[in-house]
Amino acid sequence: MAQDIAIYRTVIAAIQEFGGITANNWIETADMMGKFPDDELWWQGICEDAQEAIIDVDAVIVESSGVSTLGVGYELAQALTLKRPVLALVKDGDANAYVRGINHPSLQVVLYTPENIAKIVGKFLHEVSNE
Amino acid sequence: MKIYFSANHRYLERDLALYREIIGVIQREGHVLVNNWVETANNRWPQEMQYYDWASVCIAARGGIDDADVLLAEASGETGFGVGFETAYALSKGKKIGILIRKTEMDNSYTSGLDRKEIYVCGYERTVLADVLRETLVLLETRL
Repeated sequence: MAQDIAIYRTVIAAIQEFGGITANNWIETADMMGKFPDDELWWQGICEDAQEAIIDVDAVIVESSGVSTLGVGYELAQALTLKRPVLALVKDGDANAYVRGINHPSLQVVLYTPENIAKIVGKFLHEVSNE
Repeated sequence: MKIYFSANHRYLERDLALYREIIGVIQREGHVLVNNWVETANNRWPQEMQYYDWASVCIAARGGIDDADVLLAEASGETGFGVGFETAYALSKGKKIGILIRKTEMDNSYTSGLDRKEIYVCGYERTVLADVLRETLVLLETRL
C-alpha cells in the first residue's frame, strides 16, 4: 500500500473536491494500522465495514491495477451485484488486469496516469450525479 | 458436486503443482470440475499474458460458476483480484463457497475476514492439503 498511497489520496481529494463524501475512509486508518502486524488486525471487522459501506454508497471507485488484491475484486463484485456505478482505475500500460475483462453495464474501466486521475474521478462523479 | 475452481492465474508456473493436486483430489472424490482453466492457461501462460483476452476469461469464469454447485478457491497470497471477484459473484448466485488458504495466513488476511455462514475458509499446510481438502468437500456437500 505504501507506494500507492499518493494515488489513493489523490482519488480521495478528487471526491472531496467534487463535494462527495467518502464512506469508510479506510486509507488513513490503514496507513496508520500498517505500522502494526497484520495478525493484530480484526479482519472480520474490516470486511464487514467494507460491505456495509458498499451498501450505503451511491457509487464505488476501485484501484485495480495488475497485482490488486482479493479484497478489491470481492468488493467490486459486491458493488456490481448491488447495481452501484463502479469506476475501476487501472494504471496506464497495465495489460494484465483481470478487471478489463469484466463486462457489466454499471462498470467503467479507465486507464489512468498520476497526472489525469483526478480529472477521471471528477468526470465519473459528474456522470453519476446526473443519473 | 459440480465444482468451479478459482485461483490466481498470475503465478501459475509456481502454483501449477498445487492446483493440479487440488483438481486431482476433486476428481478422485467423484466430483465434477467445471471449466478446467488451469490446463488451458498453462498452455498459454505467461507467453501470451500481455495479449490475453480477459473478456473471454471472465465470460468463461462466470459461465463455470453459473454451472457449478460449489466454488472452491485457493486464495493464499492475497493477490487474487479475480478470485475475490469470482467469490463474490458466486455468493450472489447462492453457491456454496469454500476457500483454502495457507495456515500461516489464516489470521492475517482479508480472506480470513470472509469466514461466515455462507463462506467456509479453511487453513491448510501443504503436506496435508489432500486430507484438508477432502474434509472441506464433505463439509461443503453435507453441512453448508
